[in-house]
Amino acid sequence: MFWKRTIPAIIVAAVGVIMLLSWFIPHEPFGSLETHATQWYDIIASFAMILGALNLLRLQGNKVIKQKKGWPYALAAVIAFFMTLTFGFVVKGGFYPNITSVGDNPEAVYLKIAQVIDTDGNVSEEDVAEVRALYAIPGPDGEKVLLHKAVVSKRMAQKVVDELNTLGATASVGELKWGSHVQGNKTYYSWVFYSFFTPLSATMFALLAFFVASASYRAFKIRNAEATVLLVSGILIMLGRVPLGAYLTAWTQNIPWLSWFHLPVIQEWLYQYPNAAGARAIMIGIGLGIVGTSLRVILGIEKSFMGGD
Amino acid sequence: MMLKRTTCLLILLLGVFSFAFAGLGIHAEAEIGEPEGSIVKISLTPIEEASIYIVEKNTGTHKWLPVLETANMEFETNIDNEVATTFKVTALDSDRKILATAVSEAVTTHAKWFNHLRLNRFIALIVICGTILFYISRARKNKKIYMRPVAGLQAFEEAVGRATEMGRSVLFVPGIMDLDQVETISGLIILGHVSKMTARYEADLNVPVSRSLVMESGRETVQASYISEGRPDLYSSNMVQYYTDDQFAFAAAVDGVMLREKPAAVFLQGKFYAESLIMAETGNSIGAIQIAGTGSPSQIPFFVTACDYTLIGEEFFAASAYLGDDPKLLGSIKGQDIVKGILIAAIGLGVILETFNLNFFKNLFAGS
Repeated sequence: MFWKRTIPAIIVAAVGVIMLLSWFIPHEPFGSLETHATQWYDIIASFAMILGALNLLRLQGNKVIKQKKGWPYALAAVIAFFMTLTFGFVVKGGFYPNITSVGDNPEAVYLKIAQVIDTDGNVSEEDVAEVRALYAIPGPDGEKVLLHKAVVSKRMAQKVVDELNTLGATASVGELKWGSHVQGNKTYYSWVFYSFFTPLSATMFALLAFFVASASYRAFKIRNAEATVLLVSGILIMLGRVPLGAYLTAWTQNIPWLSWFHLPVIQEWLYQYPNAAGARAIMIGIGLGIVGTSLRVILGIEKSFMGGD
Repeated sequence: MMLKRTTCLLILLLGVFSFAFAGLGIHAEAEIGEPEGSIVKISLTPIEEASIYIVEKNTGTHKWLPVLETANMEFETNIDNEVATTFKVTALDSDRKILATAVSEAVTTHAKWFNHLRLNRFIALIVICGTILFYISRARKNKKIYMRPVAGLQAFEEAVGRATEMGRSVLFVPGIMDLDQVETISGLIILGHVSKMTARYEADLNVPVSRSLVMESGRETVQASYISEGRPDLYSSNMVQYYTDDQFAFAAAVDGVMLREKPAAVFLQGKFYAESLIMAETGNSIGAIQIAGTGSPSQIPFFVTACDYTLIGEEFFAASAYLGDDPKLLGSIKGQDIVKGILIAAIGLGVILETFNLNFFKNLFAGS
C-alpha cells in the first residue's frame, strides 16, 4: 500500500506544487521545469507504448485464437501491426539513383531525371529546368538534393541507373538512411501510411458529416420551448451565414429602422452575444472545475485514479 | 560672468566637436524590467557614409555569431541568461566595404525570482485555492453540505442497473487523451465510481482506452473498486484494453465494440475532440443509455444532442464529489461555488464600471 498509494501521492503533491509555482518563477531551475517535465513525460509515455502494443497483441491475438465474435477484424489488426513494424524497423525500401557526375551529355541526363521524378506523365521544359537548378545544389552527404525526390523501388532505381550510365553519367543505386525512411516518399512505411492509414482516417472523419446531419435532425425536433429556441436560432444562424440569407433580407437595408433584421446581422449578434456569453459561462465553470480537481489531486484528497479510495 | 560664459561656450564647442569626431560605437544593456531576462537593448553610435551595420555576438568562445544586419540605431535582441555576452558592430558602406568596427562591454541578463507581470494571477490563485481549502477544512467539521441534484449524475446507477437487467455490458470511454489532461484524470475518477456500481450489480465492464498510461491507471482504478466492493473475483485486467493512440482509429475501434457487443450503457467521460459525435451517434444507434461528460466546450453540443444525459463543464468535475460520500470532496465543490459567486460579482461590477468608462477594474485582470 505504501509503495502503490502513498509514494505516488507524495510525488504527485510535490510535483504539482513545484510546477504550479514554477509558472510564477522565471529564474532557473524553475524557468525550464515545464520543458523538462514534458520531456520526461514523453520518455515515460514512450516506454508505456511498448506496454500498450503488447496488450494490443494479447487482446487481438486471443480473439483470433479463440475465434471470438469479430475475430477477422482482430486478425486484420494483428497483420497490420506486424506489417507496419516490419516496414518501420526491418525493410525500408527507398532506393534512388545516386548520380556523382552528369558526364558529357548533361541535358539528356536532366531530362531522364525529370522523367523519373515526374508524376503527371508530362515532362515539360520547366520540369527539366527545375532539375537543372536543383542538381546544382549538393546535399549534405555529397549526393544531390534532388535525388531524394526520385525515390523508387530497387528494381526501378537500378533500371534508371543503367540508363543514366548509358547516357554518360556516373550513377549508382542509393538508399535512404534509417530514420529518414519514415518521412521519405515511396518507402514501404510511407506506402502503409499514405495508402492505408490516411484514407481510413479520412473515412472515419468523413462519417462526421452524416452524423452531424442525423444529430441536427434530432436536435431540431420541436419537443419543448428550449428545443424551439434552438431550432429558431439554428435556422437564423444557418441562413445568416449563406448568401441566400443576405439576399432574402437585403430589402431591410434600405429602411434604417429595419436594418437590424438583416439576417447576417442577426446571426452575428446571436453568435457574438448570447452564444459567447453561454460559452464563457461554461468556460469559467470548467476552469474552476480544473482548479478544484487539480487541488484535490495535489492534496491527496482524490486518489481513486491511482487505485486509491 | 565672463568666466561663466567662456566655460559654457567651451562645453558647447566640446559637445559639438565630440559628436563630429565620435567613432562607431555599440552599447548593450540588459532590459531589467523583463521578468524572463534574456532581452538586451542595443544602441549604436553611427558614423558617416555607413549604410548598413552588421551586429554579431560572442558568448566567451572565439566565434562571433551573427545577430542581424540593420540600419536602425536602437533595437532589442535575446541572449541566454547568466551568460556574459559581448556584441560587435561592423559598419559597411553601400558597396559593403568595411568602414569601422566596435565592440561593446560584456552584458549579462538574469531571470527574476518572481514574475511581477503575473502578480494578479498569483493573487487569484491564492484567493481561489484559499477559498477551496477553507471550505474543505470546514467540511471536515460540519459534514452536512447540500449539493443540488444533477440529473446526469443521478442516472449513473440507473444506467448500470439497466445494463444488468438486460444482461449486457457497460462501456466506459475515459476520453482520448493522456494522463497529462485533467479531464482524463476526472474521467478515471468517475470510472472508479462506475466500476464500483458494476461490481455491486455484477455487470460486465468494458473500458477501451487510447493511451497506455491511461490503461495502467484505469486497471488500478477498476481493480481497487472491485476490491473495495468485496468482489475481487469479478475483476479482470481485460476489462481495460488499449486499442490505439490515433484519434479516428480509436473511434473506429470503439464503434466496432459498440456494434458487436451492443452495450446497454455507454459512459463517455473525459477529453474528446471530433470523434465525440462519431462515438455518441453510434451509441445512440444501438439504443444504449448514454451519459457523457467533458471539459471540452466545443464537444458539449454534440453530446447534448446525441446522449441521454450530459455533464456540462463543472458538473463533470464535480461528479466525483457527488458520487462519493467524502465530505472533503463536497467541501471543495462548495469552495468552487463561492469562488464562482465572487467571479460573477466581479464580472457584474466590471460591466457597470466599463459602462461608465472606468477601466481601472478591468485592468486589474489584464496580464501577459
